[in-house]
Amino acid sequence: MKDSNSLAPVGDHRAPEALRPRPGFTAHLTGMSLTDLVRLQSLTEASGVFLVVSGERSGVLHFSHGQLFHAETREQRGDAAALEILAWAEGEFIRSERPPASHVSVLATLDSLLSTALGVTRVSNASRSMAATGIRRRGEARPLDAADLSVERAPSSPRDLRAAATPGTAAAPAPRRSAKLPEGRAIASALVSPLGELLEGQGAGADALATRIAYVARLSDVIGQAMGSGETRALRARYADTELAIQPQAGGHVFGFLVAHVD
Amino acid sequence: MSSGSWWRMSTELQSLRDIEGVYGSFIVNANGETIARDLPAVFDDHTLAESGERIVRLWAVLSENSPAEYALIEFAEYSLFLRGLFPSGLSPRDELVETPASGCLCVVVPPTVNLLALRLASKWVARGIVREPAWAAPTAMPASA
Repeated sequence: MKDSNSLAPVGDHRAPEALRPRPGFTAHLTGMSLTDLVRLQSLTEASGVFLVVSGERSGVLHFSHGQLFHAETREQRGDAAALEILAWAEGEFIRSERPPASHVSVLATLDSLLSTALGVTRVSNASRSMAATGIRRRGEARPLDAADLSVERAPSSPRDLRAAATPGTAAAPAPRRSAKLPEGRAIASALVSPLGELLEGQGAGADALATRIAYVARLSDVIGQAMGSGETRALRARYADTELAIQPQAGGHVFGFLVAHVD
Repeated sequence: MSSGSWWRMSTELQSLRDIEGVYGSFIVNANGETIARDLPAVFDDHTLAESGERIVRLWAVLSENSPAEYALIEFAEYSLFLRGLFPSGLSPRDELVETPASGCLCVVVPPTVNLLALRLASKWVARGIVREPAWAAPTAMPASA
């Protein structure tokens, strides 16, 4: 992670004072995974915009008080963009002085996104095939999610992350992950077309998941219309061991995934 | 269903307003009929009748493989929190029972609602409702207050 003044836009596009990095150390870290860097922003309740560059790909992650609230790549935005970025294996994580987004596009919790990105590696490929998501969320604050508290804070404990960011150990390899890795917690995912075709499925039971999310998404739309509450932005259902998340995408596509949560 | 039972269930629903931001709530039985409500007048009986059956069906689909604890649908205008109502309620250990839900508790909330508080509050309300002997009787509810 490093600061880059060269990325600072000129003129009126500089970040507000409150979002500029606080005085302190500038770190140049190697060997850390992107998920660890993202978790570090969450852990330290950081605010700001981060540019992620991986080869010829690039994207931005917007944080406010540790909450990832907006993500954008060349082709995606919102949850799909966050998943795409988090699936990148290597690259640079650079603080940018771009102004923060004025709206919220990321709906899923950071834990859910990280679990999915780590466990379903081809999600970003599926998402890339879609048009821009256009998901938006009314209001600025995201409600406290039970999953936020119940899901294990792996892959790295706060102490490990702090240690990794400490000068002298920063260049060391990423903290060794515990036995309870998020890998595998993402059970299945499915991307369904407006005609009900399974465009991309991952994990066991992706076909059944696709069928279910297609019907559930349609039912929730009809309920929303009947109640005059507008379009469905997201749906999630919590079970004893898992959580189902469904996110309508642009063009009538529906993306859903099933993630195991750890209490 | 007696008017006394209806009022007791409505009183249970009113307790959900202790959660900051809750707009109101209603209960649908297994037939999708609204049997109790604590909602602003903008949600008229016709609106609830149109959505009730679909809510029950949605819950059934979500709980097809395993019982869901709750579901949260985020709409453009507000969110709808759903919790299944089981004939025998929750077990003494608060485990989800394996029987099909006989209806749904539906809570209209803003996106910023405290979900943790709502989960617990709705659990207690659901317990109170299923204790009503006639809670799932498919009879017309009294006119909206």
